[in-house]
Amino acid sequence: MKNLFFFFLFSISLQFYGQISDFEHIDFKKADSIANVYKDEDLNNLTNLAYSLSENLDTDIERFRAIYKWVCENIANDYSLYHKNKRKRERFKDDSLKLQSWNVSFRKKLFKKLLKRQRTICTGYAYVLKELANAIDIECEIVQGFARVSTTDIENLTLPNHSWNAVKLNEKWYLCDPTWASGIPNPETNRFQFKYNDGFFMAEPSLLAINHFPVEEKWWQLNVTPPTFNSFLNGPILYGDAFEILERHISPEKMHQDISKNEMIEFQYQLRNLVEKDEISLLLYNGTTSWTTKPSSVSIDNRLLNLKQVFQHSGFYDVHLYIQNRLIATYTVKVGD
Amino acid sequence: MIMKTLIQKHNLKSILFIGLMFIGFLNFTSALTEKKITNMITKLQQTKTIKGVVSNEDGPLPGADVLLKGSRIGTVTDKNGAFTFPKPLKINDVLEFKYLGYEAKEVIIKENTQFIEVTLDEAKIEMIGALNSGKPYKSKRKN
Repeated sequence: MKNLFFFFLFSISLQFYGQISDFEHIDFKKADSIANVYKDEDLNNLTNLAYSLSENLDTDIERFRAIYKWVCENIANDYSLYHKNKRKRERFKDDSLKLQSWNVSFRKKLFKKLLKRQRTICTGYAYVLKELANAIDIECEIVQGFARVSTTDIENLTLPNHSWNAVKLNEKWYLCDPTWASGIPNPETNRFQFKYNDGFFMAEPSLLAINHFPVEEKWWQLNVTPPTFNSFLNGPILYGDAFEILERHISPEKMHQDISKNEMIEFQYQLRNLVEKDEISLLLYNGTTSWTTKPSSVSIDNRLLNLKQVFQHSGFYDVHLYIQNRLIATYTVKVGD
Repeated sequence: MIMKTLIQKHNLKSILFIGLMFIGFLNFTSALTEKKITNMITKLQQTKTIKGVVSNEDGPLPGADVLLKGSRIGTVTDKNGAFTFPKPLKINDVLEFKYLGYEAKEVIIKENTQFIEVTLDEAKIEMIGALNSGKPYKSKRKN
């Protein structure tokens, strides 16, 4: 009941934000091709770059799009910097003076690398996007907070670990995550690989809130209680592809479910585009074996996707949802006797 | 009746006199204001070449952007952090100083501005980053 209450508040709080569907009538082809034309530009003159990217576009959303696309396709995520920062921040987390002095020296190193080699970590992406947008009078801010992915050690998630952006267009705030839009580690080499994900551009706020928790309450909505940090930590795991395929994740709200044998779990999502029923599958893993299965039942009604899965055998399952062979979400299910 | 006409005539003269004086005064003051305005306009229109140097906490800062606010007219500082602005500037023009990772600063050109010295301060941002991952989640299991 309490969760339902939070979910309800949460839904109200997010109405203040807009999402990509507000711009359905806009074709971003021109903005995207301009971003591509300036591929070899560097960061030595941000204002000039911002002007070059935006001067032939008619609307603020297109101008912002060209800048955003340029950032996502030209700034690389530097994993060695990321790991080094993570290690040091964890080491100094109880020593605020050392943490602060590390932050200062690291920041210097990071901006040098960003300027010379166009490599950075999240805050660098968010910073460049903000500076470029501000240079052409578009209001854009850095949002600092917590992010949660499949590999996050949530038991030790005590310091903010991620930065993304809020941008104001037509009197509405929109949320973007240029870092996650730019690419992910190559599964084999574990090195960063550019692979643009459009789902993080003007992301659906309730979807983004599943794995992004801002430090400052103002990035939720004033006068409304934001979801608790605990409920954020206990939510399902969403993958990058979810942002291209889903518009909303409706249920289950928690990652973990405790059920009895032969009981059923219901999953509900709002899709961005239509998909076929046979493009939906679950990958189950019980600790020893993993297998792919079709859900016990699937229904799609006006882009509302309903899945039901019955668990006939006791055990502890990792349940991965795949749509069009793309990994969308993970839940865990404990089936008792 | 005759008395009344006389008074009226007299009044009319004084009014005329005061009126003429007033117009004269107006002309005089407006001539003064006009001169002042012309002077001011000439001053505002006068342009001059601005030079300067940009530094950070370590000393002169090469490669910093120097821009005329609201335009893309500008230059970057040389290896000594120095610049000569490419366009002559007027009073009340605003120069912007920017460098990646530093707070931007603005300087308004005043009557006596010739040489600008600007020190940029670091942007106080905490640098953090979480990687996204496409790796499927795996529960920790007790064996």
